[in-house]
Amino acid sequence: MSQKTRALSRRQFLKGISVAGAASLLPLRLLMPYSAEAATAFREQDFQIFRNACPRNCYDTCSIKTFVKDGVVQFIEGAQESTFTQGGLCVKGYAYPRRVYSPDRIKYPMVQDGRRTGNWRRVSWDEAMDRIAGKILEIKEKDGSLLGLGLTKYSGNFGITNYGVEGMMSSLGYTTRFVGTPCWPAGIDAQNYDLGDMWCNDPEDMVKSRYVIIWGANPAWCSVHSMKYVNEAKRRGAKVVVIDPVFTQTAAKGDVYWQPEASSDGALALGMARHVLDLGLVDSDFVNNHAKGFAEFAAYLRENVTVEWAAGVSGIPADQIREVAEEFASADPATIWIGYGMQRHTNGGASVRAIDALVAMTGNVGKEGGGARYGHLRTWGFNYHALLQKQPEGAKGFIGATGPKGEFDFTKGEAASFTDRTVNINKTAQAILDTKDPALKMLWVSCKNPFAQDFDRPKLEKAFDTLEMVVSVEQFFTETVNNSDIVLPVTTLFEEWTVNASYWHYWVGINEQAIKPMYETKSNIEIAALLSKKMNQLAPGSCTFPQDIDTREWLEKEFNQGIYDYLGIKHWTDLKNGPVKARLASSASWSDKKFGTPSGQYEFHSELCQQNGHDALPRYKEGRKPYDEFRLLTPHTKFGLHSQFINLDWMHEFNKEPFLYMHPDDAQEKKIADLDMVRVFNKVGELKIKVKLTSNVAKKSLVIYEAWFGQGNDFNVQNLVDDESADMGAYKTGAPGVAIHGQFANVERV
Amino acid sequence: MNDASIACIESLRDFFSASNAMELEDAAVRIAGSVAAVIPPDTDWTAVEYEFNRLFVGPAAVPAPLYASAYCESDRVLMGKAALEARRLYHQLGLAVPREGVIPDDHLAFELEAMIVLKSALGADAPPSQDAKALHAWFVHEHLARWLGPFILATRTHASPGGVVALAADALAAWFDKELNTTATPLPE
Repeated sequence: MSQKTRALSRRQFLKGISVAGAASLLPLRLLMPYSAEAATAFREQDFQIFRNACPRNCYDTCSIKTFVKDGVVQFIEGAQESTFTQGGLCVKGYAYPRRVYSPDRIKYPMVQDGRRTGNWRRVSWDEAMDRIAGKILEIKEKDGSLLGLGLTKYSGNFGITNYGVEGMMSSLGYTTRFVGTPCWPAGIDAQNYDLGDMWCNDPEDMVKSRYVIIWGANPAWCSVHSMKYVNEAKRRGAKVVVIDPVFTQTAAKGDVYWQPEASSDGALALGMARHVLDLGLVDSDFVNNHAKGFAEFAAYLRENVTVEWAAGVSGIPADQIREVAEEFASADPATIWIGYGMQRHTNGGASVRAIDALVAMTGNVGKEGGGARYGHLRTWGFNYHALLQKQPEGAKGFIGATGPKGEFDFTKGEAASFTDRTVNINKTAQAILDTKDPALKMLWVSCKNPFAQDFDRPKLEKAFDTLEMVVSVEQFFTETVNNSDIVLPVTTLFEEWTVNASYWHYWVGINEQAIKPMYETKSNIEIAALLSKKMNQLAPGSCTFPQDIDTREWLEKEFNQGIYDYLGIKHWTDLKNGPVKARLASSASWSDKKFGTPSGQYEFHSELCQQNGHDALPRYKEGRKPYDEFRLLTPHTKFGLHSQFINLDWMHEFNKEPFLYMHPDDAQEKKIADLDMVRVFNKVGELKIKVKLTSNVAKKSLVIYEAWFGQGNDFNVQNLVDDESADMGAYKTGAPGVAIHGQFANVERV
Repeated sequence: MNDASIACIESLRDFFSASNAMELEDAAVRIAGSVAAVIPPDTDWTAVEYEFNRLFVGPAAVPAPLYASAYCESDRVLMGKAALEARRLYHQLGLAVPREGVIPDDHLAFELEAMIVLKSALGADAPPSQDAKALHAWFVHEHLARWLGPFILATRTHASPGGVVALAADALAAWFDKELNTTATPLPE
């Protein structure tokens, strides 16, 4: 190539040349006549800017500004209008355009001839729906109900209109729903027993804290925007204590780091509480005027708890427990961020109650800069229009249950002759195997990757093999898709309208459609509409879901005056100017000390908790007994959100492969060297993985970050995690949580 | 314009835009005819469809994406500059991809169809217009040459040896090799 040509810009070269008309006489199959007028919207010189919101299961729920040119997302940035997002995104967020434009994206409806064969064929949407609707009608005819049709859906997309998936199921009839959550249910129940709701302070008010304990959370990885408030509090003089069985990047930022025995958190909190009691640092106004049962709790502490006992259980020296307890009780205000990791134990709910009690007895509940921070759903008061669909006339269902519920279920259940059948989402495999009369025959999977997130993978594969049809709605090829018969391509956030709220901060943002849906992708509610059309073609009246959907109109239907008032906006279109924060009477939850408990007070002693099969008091409850040599922890990885993002090229740059992390002393005993290939095994299964030796991990602990897939990697931590239940969760989310961190395993060099 | 050459490009276009076994068979038989190759009569066309999807379509990660951007960008990502170049080329030809922005403009099949238009323009004009010559030369040397090589290599690496997909890749390579060698480099005024 000549120098002259190389120097020439390709665009300049193309400009001004026209061979229009050359095509007019040709029998073309693919390209169509070009009209400059029709394409103007995609040829604007300036960027079009759209508002988007991260729909993932993440504390931060970032507000995004999307810059589009030529109909292509060129780049995105965090919205400046949100003081929480503050113009920045995390690595995952910045990688969003790579999800849309990844060549590996699922583009078309496809059917697999034999699960796990890799033998996929493209089908039209019409054919896909024909197969699906045909199967649904077959089940209905055979069983007399649709209870043989199951739905498993969770947090892959928390955009409000995506609750249309549940709506689609209701519009078909009464079905089987996997309910509960693997994430945070034990803590939700605990906070409901203690406070009457899960309701946290505005995270932005952490800057007012004089003492911050981050207990079982790793915001440096999992809530990067919150770290600026932790850092600012520290800059203003607050002490930051991090408690975690793994020395995390958050721990590295703290003034004090405790590495307790996993699941000993309750003992640690109670030991601190006992010391606060002994020092006379209890907030008497709070415990006397706004709380119920403190005297009983104090008696329990005096009779059953000592700091030395807590030190023995947790492994944290007694003098350190005393020092931190005293500092915490003396600081005003002081706060504890209760992470979701610490409640993923068989005693997780009891541990959260013990920590709540420590915060409450020191007078830090209802105080700005204080609080037992866990989460909230106060900004989720949408209409759930997409969710609330009626069963067809004459639909038969399950008798004897109250129907599904979950932490995001804001609907008021109506008395009905029939309900859906509910099974525990945390025991997906066992539920599929056990459910009879009628058995589960078909499973619809959306916003979820069960093979990465559900427990006991070997059993899950066996369970899936009993199903006659599995339909996955996905953006990328996962192990779940590999175990499906049909995959339907779903839109990304840039290709649909919806609205997103956070369970941590108080900002709400709309998600505009910024580009046309690529390939043949459709949003969840468009898929529901298509299924409804097909169902009604084949059997008129068999599905009530509307058959023509405009995602923008459906977004609009989610808003109400209550939301407008709470956000201080007149109309949802105001959100096009940027995200809006709820108008809070105080940055503190429970600032008026009117609690949601039966007594209206903070309940150290909860009869409701007792009625639901637990201790009335936040007594210490032992964790799961070890069943193998090492404790196994499988926390979130840094550059993924469960299995999302992990397959993208940017993430592979940083995280080329998964590793087992173990303490050098343990490795020496096992004759394992750094970077050796090892086999990790337990009663559930095994996996082979390279090892990295680090003292960031406690002795007798194995740490493997969850969810790796893509580029030939079939690693899966769920080969080692069973479905043992956590103690709490059933009260508010419909099923107990799961003891993800109450797991054990052994290791050997291979 | 060479009718045989156009027919070859058409068959390649139809092969790489096929969505099922029947379309693959129809196109592959024409490709074989254009390069004097023989496709075994017992060919399992459904198996060809599986392989085609495994290499080019999905749903699993594809080793040989059909889009120029996947090879021309510094990162493996679609709808990059190559897609917009292709779009501009089509506009110059008075054409556009249906529902522009839905399927990346630089899909191999669209580009092959654009090549048919260009070659027709060259053949129809007597003598061919300078614009048509320049555009064709640019398309061959500056656009297709940047990605067809890596695409063909990726396809050959992952396709079954001696199979129908490999045959199509070989035919594409042979056609483009000739096109490249018979097209003068673009030297605009």
